[in-house]
Amino acid sequence: MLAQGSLAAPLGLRNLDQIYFVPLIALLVLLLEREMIRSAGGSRARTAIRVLDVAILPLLVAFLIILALRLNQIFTHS
Amino acid sequence: MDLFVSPATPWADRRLSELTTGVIGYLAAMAASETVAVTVGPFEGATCYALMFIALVNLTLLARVREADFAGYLWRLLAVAAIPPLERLLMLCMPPLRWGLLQEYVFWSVPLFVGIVVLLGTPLLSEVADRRPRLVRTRDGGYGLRGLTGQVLVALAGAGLGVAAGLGAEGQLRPVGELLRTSQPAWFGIVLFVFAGCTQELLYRGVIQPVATAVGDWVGVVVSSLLMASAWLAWVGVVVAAPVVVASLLFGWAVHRWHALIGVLVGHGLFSLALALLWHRVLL
Repeated sequence: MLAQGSLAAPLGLRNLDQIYFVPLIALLVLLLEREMIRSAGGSRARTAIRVLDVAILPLLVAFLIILALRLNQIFTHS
Repeated sequence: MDLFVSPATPWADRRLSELTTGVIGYLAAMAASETVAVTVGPFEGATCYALMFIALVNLTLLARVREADFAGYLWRLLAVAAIPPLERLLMLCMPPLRWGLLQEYVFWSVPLFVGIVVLLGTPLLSEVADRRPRLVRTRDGGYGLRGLTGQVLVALAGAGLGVAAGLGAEGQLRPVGELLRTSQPAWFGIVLFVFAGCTQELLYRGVIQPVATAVGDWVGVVVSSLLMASAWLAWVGVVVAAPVVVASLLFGWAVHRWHALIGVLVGHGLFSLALALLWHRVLL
């Protein structure tokens, strides 16, 4: 029962509507871009990173809300 | 010859030639994304908005890096242009599982509000500080009766337009008591006033309008009003189109006239409240 319940769908991703992945993928793209720019270094890179940080923050908050609600749902049902 | 030329600004010679096409293209892209969301599906629409958001963030980044003196307006316009796609992306993606429509306001408003507050801490509005509206201050820097009276009228007009939108949508009055029994009244009012009204007005009147006004006085009013109306239309449908567009233009004009946000904050809250009380499908 434990194996079926927790290993077959440990995160319940099959129950998560695909639309929730859109802001998460956008967040990942911007984070990846931030790291690529950061590796370049220099004053221009620092300016670009500040712009990206402002764009990343709301998506990060959205991700945390989705995560918290998802965990709440999982623990409520378990 | 100078009839259509506003007083000299850093952008006076560039506005019509370089920006009109960009603004029209941007509004067309927003309309196309919304059409995709309505006709194809929310996932596809959200993907379009996410692509728009990422593209505009990167254009802002490039413009910010290239404008070495940080005094340019291009990156500012691009930065504020990136916010409506983000708002629509959050509105489409943030109705979390098993939560009611009323709570959706909270869940998409919180990330947006955080973004706006952070944006206000950047140099975004430093070049347009004289155009930036304050919460209660009038154009003259005081709290004159003229401005106060006008803002009270704007707030009441917001309530009237909300009633018109609700009646247009539902076609009949519904008992308010029934709604308040099913939805906690305090929670109901707080969500509509704080999360829906304040967040959207801070975004459209507090950030987008002053930056877009640098292009032209009425460009800021019209563009910010059209963007806010488009978000509303997608939220409640085209059936309430006329009151929403009128309310958006009225709020834009009020901020342009008095440089104060308090009237439109209350007006937006009353509009939402009246619409929700008369049209249950908005919230329940």
